[in-house]
Amino acid sequence: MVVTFDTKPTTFGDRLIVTGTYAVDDATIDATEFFSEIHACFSMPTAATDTDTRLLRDLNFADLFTINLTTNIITITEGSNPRAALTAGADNAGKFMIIGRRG
Amino acid sequence: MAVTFEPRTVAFGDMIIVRGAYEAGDTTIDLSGFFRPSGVEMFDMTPNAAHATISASFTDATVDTTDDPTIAHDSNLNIERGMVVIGTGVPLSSTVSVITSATAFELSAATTGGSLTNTTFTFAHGIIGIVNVNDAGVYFNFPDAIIEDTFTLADATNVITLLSGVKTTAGAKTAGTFMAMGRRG
Repeated sequence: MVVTFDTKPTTFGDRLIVTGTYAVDDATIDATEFFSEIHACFSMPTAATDTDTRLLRDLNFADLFTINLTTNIITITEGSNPRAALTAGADNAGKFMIIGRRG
Repeated sequence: MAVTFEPRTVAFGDMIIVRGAYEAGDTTIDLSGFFRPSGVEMFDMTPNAAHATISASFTDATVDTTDDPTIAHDSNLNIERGMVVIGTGVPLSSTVSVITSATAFELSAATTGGSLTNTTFTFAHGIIGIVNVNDAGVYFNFPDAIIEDTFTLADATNVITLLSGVKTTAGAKTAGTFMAMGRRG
């Protein structure tokens, strides 16, 4: 369980692109050292999250990224677990890319 | 079925942005010609429509019963295995056990009340009486759900796999556009 940032971010104007990877069960990505403001964060899951086939149809979901606009911390939530409350942490590993204004 | 790429890409620094479109039924988008290995940093797709709306419940007023688990009805593809069934002559906690065809299914128990024609059944996604699932033994229902297509990335090869939101359907269910950004090849 560890979030890693690639070593060479891309800058253009006062904007910054940071890329990296996250692992299974990683629950947050703290990019506050890079950004004063985050515009978008994209997740690149390596697999879809499957729901329990006893419920509804068998569905494909991706893990979910949300951004706290005050702290600039990104939260990763398991894509779907319809039988219980939202589960913190990624169900599958993946890559991410964050675009924002430099800190 | 064909994936198309816009001819004009956008490059800045060592990054490149590639845009294009996919059609219903497309299963992969091969980005290897644009990016270095493991170079795709972001991919996003914009489907033209949400392809499936799963309703919490619906009714069918064409159901015929005969004091038997076998139920006949006019064509209805929304009825699915495991749905809870409520209606005249339907024992409590009955569910759809087998989908026989678009016009027939097997109920988990025989109906009662004799032969009925064009009676109304209510079908609901949910569980009755399952232990150790949230509220044990309590009726558990779903809100309506809108399902979109999704994707996964094979990082080493830069190939995107398109997945229908409903797992049993391969490839994208609806057409759409996409944008990928990453390190140039």
